[in-house]
Amino acid sequence: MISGRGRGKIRPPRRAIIGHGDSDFDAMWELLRSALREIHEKNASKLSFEQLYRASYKIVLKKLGDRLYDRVKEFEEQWFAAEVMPTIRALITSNLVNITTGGISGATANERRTTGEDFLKGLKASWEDHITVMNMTTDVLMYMDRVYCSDNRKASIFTTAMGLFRDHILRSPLSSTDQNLITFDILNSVILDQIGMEREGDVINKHLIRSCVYMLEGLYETDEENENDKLYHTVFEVEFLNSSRAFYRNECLGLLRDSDASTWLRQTNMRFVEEDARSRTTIAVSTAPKIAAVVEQEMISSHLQEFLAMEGSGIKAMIENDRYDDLTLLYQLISRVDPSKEPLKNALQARVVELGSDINKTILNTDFANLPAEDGDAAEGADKEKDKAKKPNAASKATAAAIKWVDEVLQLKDKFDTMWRKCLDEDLILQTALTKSFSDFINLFPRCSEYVSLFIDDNLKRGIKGKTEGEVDEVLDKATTLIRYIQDKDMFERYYKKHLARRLLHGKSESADVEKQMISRMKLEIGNAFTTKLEGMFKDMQTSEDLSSGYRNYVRNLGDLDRKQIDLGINVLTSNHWPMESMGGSKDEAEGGRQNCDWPAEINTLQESFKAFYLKERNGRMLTWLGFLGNADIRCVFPKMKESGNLGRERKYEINVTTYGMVILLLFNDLGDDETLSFEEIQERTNIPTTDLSRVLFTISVLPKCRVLTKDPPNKEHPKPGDKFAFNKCFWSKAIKIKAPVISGVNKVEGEEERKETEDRNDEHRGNVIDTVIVRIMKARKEFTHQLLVTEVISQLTQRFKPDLGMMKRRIESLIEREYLERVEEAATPTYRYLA
Amino acid sequence: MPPMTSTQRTMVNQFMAITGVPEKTAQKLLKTAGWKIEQASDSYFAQSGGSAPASRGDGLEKLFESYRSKEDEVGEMGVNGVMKYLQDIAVNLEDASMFVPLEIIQAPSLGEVSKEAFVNGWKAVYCDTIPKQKAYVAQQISMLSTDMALFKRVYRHVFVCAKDKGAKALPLDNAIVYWQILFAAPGKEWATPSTNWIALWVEYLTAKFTKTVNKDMWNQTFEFFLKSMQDETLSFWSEDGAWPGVIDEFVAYVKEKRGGAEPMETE
Repeated sequence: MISGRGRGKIRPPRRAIIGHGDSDFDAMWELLRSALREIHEKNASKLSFEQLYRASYKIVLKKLGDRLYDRVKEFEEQWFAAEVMPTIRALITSNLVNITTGGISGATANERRTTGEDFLKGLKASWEDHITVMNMTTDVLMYMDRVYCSDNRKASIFTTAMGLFRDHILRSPLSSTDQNLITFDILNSVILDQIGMEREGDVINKHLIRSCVYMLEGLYETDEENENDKLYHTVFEVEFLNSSRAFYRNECLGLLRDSDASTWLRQTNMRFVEEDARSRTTIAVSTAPKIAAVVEQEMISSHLQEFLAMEGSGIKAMIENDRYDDLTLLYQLISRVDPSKEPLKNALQARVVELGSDINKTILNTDFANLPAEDGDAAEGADKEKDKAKKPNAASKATAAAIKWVDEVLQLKDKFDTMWRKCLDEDLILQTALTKSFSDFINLFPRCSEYVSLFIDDNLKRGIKGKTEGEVDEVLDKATTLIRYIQDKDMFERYYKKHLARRLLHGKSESADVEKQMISRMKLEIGNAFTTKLEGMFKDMQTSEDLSSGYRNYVRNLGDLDRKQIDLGINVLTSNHWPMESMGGSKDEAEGGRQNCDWPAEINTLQESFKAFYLKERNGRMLTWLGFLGNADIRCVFPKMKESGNLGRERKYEINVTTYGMVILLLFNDLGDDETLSFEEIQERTNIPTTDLSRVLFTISVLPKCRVLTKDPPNKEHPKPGDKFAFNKCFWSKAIKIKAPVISGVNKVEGEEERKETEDRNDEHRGNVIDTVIVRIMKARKEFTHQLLVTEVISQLTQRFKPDLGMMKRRIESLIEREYLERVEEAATPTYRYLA
Repeated sequence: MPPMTSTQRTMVNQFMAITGVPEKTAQKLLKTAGWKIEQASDSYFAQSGGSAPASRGDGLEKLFESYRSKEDEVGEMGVNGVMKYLQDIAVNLEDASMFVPLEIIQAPSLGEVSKEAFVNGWKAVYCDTIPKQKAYVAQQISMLSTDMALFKRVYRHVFVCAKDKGAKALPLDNAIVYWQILFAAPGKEWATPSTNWIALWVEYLTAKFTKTVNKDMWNQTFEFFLKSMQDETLSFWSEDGAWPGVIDEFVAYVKEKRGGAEPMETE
């Protein structure tokens, strides 16, 4: 069989060797045995490798490899029993045994460490010796390994010797009486004890432990040396993880009992770092993920909720006091155990809603403290006036409160945004959750749409004055964010239109450019349909400017200059773009028919002239003149009343009043001295609605700034039927140009009544929208079940508002009544059919 | 032949009145038709040749004309004629039975019948003389509280003839009167062991409802009547259902009442 291996040249004569027989083996073995002894006693240098190799070679050639193999094993066993074990046993003190068996060792930590280290050193030394010795032995017996072991499928002598070490050293019972306790147990407990000391803060000999771990990694459960069966994995690692689990469970309980969440976070984080380092330096890297899992489970998952709920240091306090470090740690730890971060998410959401509800509550309470007084008598808004100073501007206070609400919401948003960026790693799941919570509490607040619109109004009027482009952008960003949260977009649109209308018509807008930016942002955010009307309003303003100048040219070219010229600036508003009903004017039902006032002759000519001009190019349009929206500059002359003083000479003023105001004042032109006009007479001649009339008269006969009329009785009440008015000849003012105060020119929080009106109007509008959507859906589906119809309607409207279930049902019923739909008879589930 | 139920006996009598066949034959024919009187008479007349309907049509027209007074428009019977006719076929004008013949002849209002509808209505059930019609109506009335399909037909027709011509809805007061008539004998009483529904319904409407009763509400009230008769705990009701708002509110009203009086059944 050897001839086949092509080594003929060095092969010794076969016959000669075979001739020696058994006695030859004994001689050879004796040679080898004494050599092995020398090797074990570290005297290998004297030995001749060639001689020994030849001896083993001969034995194997004579087919006595099995005997040699067994003898070597036997030799090793004897060696272990006689030489190695006694030393190791000597190192195992009763202390170590006590620790292993769970008894209490009387020794101090220091003693324990030294005895432990001695033991480990001893074991390590014997292991290292064993390796060295076995390497040499393997060299000597190389031929046996190569020929005998591989032919007979036996483990190499090295492997076998490793197995022997495992069985005879590690697994040898400590004493013949107690078969349960083996050296391995001592080894484990010593290492674990040392690690335990390190966890308590002691310094230990990591290197020594690492060597012992190497040893365990070099030994296997069986001689097949299966990778998964390393003793390290099968025995030590299991013990290590178990004891660590117990340790951390205790530690976590201790922290829960004695410490706060902050300490817990830091401790836990430190433990992760420590364990990771330990895996790298002291035990095996492969254990790192496993021990991390143990720490995660014991330190984080098991008591997470309790720590989060801790008073004064839990998540509430962390958010409250901007403890960014804590939050960062918390986020990192929770991310370890739960990729969806459910606990953190819930806690954050709850907190946002809680804080948000607080803001809502504060504002609502403020409102209640202020508003009742205003609701009763002054819903129309006269409370802006100075004579009500004693109940200081309830409405403007409410407006301030509205803006405060928005500011606080924004602050809260800022706070969480900062937190999200700094601590939460800009986590998308958490961002969605936060957004949802914000949206939730904002929509819980019944007036959010109005307040947000007021906030924008305030900023576009004054807030952006003197701000840089960047700052303005920031304000717009904030506004856009808020709009995004609002669920009832239609309500918001309503308010925005109302506020925008006032800004545009009263020239209150700070910058047309910023207005447009805001609109284009809303367009992006909510969609085209939302902004068409708003854009229409801007367009109207633009067209109106062109119209006014066009008209001026037209008049100039008429050559009709002898007439006392009135300069006309006009705004032509497309009625369905502008929120006519909320721009002021009389809301009195009873006077609905009195919308058109009787214009004075001068004005009438002017109107006719403009109408002619306007309709020349736009045939078929209807022009309605809205007296309550415009204003006029009037030149007024007051006679000299006294010889000296303020009234000592004739006074000319330019007074700016509302269009109605102008109509009223013109009446007094034709009046003789000391003649008066009663409220009824004025109304009779002008046909101005009662509420408007009272309001306008209030500004020019009661408020001191522009008191060009006197009122009888001269009190501070709103003018009412029965009052008499006369030209105030004694009027005096420092300024030449006077602007009569305009009521309802300022955007402010609505009173309860007004609010209800707006809501009713909005509901009505929603009803129509729902009708349209239902009909559109049914037209496409022909037959559709109630459930699906409702779902579909909601999903189609979700961009604009959240339809109320009751309202939807009422709309369906009404459509059935109007025979757009019918119920399908005998349908298993309620179904409607579209009637074409 | 097994003994007949009382309904079946009425039917046999009626069938004999319509066709004039002996009792045995009537029983046989009805049985083959699965105790459906209309089918039975259909097949009887189909067998005995097409002459009968034509002549009956003539008879019905004559009958109609005999009730029409001179003031009435051509092809229409006025209020006096209708009243006399109803008395002649012996229906009680005080309860639900009155609506049974009105449904058959599809009266567009309480005091008005068109000739065409009259003739067609009776022709379809093969009753061309007063006695036959009387018998048929009596039999239908007897089944009103058990045959829900019949009851539903009658119920729905009440809305048609109760409202003013051209009107879309019924004033609440009138509707309540009709409900009270319909949901009482010989109609089906709307009551279950624990609840007198019709009383509760009227009480609720009187207290809370201010609008008029439209067709949808009228018809849906019947559906709700059927359901509540089967399940008085109202577990079939859900907020997401397609019931009209008035029913939803009625359910809330009932639940509140029950909640006050006794704890709700745990269903």
